[in-house]
Amino acid sequence: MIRHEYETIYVTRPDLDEAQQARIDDKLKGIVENGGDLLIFEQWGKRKLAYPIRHVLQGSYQFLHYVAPAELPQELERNMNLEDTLIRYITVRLNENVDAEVARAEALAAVDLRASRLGLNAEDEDGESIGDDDTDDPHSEEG
Amino acid sequence: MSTPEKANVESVMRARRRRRKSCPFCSDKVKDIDYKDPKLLRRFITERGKIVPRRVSGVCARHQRMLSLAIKRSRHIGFLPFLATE
Ligand SMILES: [Zn+2]
Repeated sequence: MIRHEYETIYVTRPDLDEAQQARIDDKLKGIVENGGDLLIFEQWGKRKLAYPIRHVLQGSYQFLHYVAPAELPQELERNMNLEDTLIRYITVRLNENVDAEVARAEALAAVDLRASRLGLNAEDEDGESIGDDDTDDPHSEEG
Repeated sequence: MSTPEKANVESVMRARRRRRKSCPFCSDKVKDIDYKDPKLLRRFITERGKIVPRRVSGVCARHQRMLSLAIKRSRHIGFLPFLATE
């Protein structure tokens, strides 16, 4: 069976409690694990949105990287559409007709670069990501 | 016969005319532009959030297409603004 490599980011409301977030995460991860191979699941935490989405200014970001048949992203999207606390998602097909183990090795190799581009692991200079004590900073735009 | 001064003016003008910026993605041999790299993408949108035209940025047509797709995806997922709010 031909399977492709995908990534999906989904953004949930920032005010979900742990159990609500876990229910959504488990459900979506389960769909991927059932129909394909989940390579990576990451929680990026709360981030400032560049513009308000459904009246919220922050989103809680999750990331799935997987190998699956072409129907799976549609099933995932159907399920994401059912969650009214899930405010945004995007799925991108990264590579066609891949071998899961090759894709897994590449996926693992890409973790650090992604984290640094997103400013995940850091008291990183400019506030793409935010902590719990968000001081209302005037959105500093440099360069 | 050109005086030193005139020669200098000519070389400045030639330099300006030649100032066709080379594509920054080509010079880095970039194969794909990541929509999950807001810091990079921000360099190619204006303060108002619009995509910088390639005659200004020097990006080649091929990379501009990739860039424009990356910026659109990045906006969709909330990493980049659609238009600046004032
Ligand atoms: Zn180029």
